[in-house]
Amino acid sequence: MDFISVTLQLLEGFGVTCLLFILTLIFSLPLGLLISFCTMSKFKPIKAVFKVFVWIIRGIPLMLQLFMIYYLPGILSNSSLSFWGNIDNTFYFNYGIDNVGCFIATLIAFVINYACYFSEIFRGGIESISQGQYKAGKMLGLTKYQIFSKIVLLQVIKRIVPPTANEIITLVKDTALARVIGVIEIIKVADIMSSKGLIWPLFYTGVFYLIFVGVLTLIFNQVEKRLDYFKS
Amino acid sequence: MKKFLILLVSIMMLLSLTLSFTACGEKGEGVIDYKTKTITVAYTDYEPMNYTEDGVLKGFDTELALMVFNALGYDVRFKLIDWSNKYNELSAGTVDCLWNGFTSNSEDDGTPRAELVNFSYNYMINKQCIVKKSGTPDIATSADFAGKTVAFESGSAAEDLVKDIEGANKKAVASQMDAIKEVNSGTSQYAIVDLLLASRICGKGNFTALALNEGFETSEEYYAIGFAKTEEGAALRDKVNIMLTAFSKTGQLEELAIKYGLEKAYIDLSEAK
Repeated sequence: MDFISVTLQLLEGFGVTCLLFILTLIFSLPLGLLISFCTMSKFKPIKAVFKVFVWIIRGIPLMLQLFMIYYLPGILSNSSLSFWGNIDNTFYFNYGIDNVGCFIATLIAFVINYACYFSEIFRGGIESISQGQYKAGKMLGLTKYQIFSKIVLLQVIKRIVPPTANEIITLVKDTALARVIGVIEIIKVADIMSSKGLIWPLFYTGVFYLIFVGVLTLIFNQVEKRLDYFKS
Repeated sequence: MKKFLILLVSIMMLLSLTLSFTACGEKGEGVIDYKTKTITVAYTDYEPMNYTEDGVLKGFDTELALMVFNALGYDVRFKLIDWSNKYNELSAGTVDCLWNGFTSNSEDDGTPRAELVNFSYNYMINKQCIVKKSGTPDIATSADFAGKTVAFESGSAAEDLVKDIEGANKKAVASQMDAIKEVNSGTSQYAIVDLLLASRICGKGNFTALALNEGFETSEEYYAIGFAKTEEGAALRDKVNIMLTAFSKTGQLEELAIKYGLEKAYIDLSEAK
């Protein structure tokens, strides 16, 4: 196999990697914000439930969460074709798209996992704003909502960009885990090639990740620059 | 108000979680039951049984699975799995059978495989052999492995063999081809793999530097198709067995074996019971 055909095949796998990355980001960022509000709730039961939830999700390896989401429904139920197997088959036989079930299972695991990590970053950002600012806002006659949106939010966004960017870059590379339950992403594609004796594509995949993370880093640098509005 | 909103949202989240899990437990109405007409066959990339060539899935097991299940009226989907998760996939129902040169008279961690899955008739016979670089000295007895590095697929038939070797550095890898790759790239001196696989690739293509180790024979092993250890699995197994016998009688099974250079491994199933 020559360089171009290997690159094309790897690009196909990289498409799956990118799709997983983008969808995870789209769903996990808002969900993370929601969870962060819940963990900061003054209503104790909710706070407790979500603290425990975040603890569980952050405490269990992501790979194990993938196995749990993909295998448990079938093992717990008595039907021999599992929930995910059914989705896999439905899409394969009706639309010719393979591995939809394991992709969705992976997506769910990733979204929940990353939402929990993001929630802690958001919580840290929001709690880092001093109480004095809330009091000052109150003195000026602003409502709670106005204080949050006009004073707190802008500072929070500025503060959470670096740690969030860090987490997002980790996500790019964590997508490689999806292969354990059958998602054919870029490393799996290279692995299949290497199983036929062609080893270099496996190392070549690193270039794809590097470029992707490079682009993301540039984007985050720009975002940070734009958010430099409090510089004196 | 805010408290109420958060409460509402969290209740909804919990509800949707529990709902999605109960939905997994029972088939909802309106969901088409693909069980009745489709089969998912689990495989790994393993020449000459299941492998991709120019984007097309080929191989003895691939063609045989298609032949058998199409004759039984099923549509077939092949799922490339991580072979070490094979029992999980089977018991979770994400696949229906393991059809990938699966050794039936072997064991996993002391449990005979026959106790873990429902096996079809043995349709192929195989041995384990040693692969090395052409210049590496031959192994005559297992004592010769002392001080050497030997690679094998974890969970495969080779693992039983490696278990009895003493004084060697044993390297468990994810697949048989990985074991061969170890030897090819010089990270291991020997690899223990299937004879069928080894004789097909040693000295060819990307593996010109490799050779078979002569004079080290192992016990025979048999290939069969693995089904779930359930009543449904057994029922499907029985249907497949009938078809295997039928294809053996018509000579199609042997024809297929010859096509993939496996005539030495072929087992006549026309009298199988």
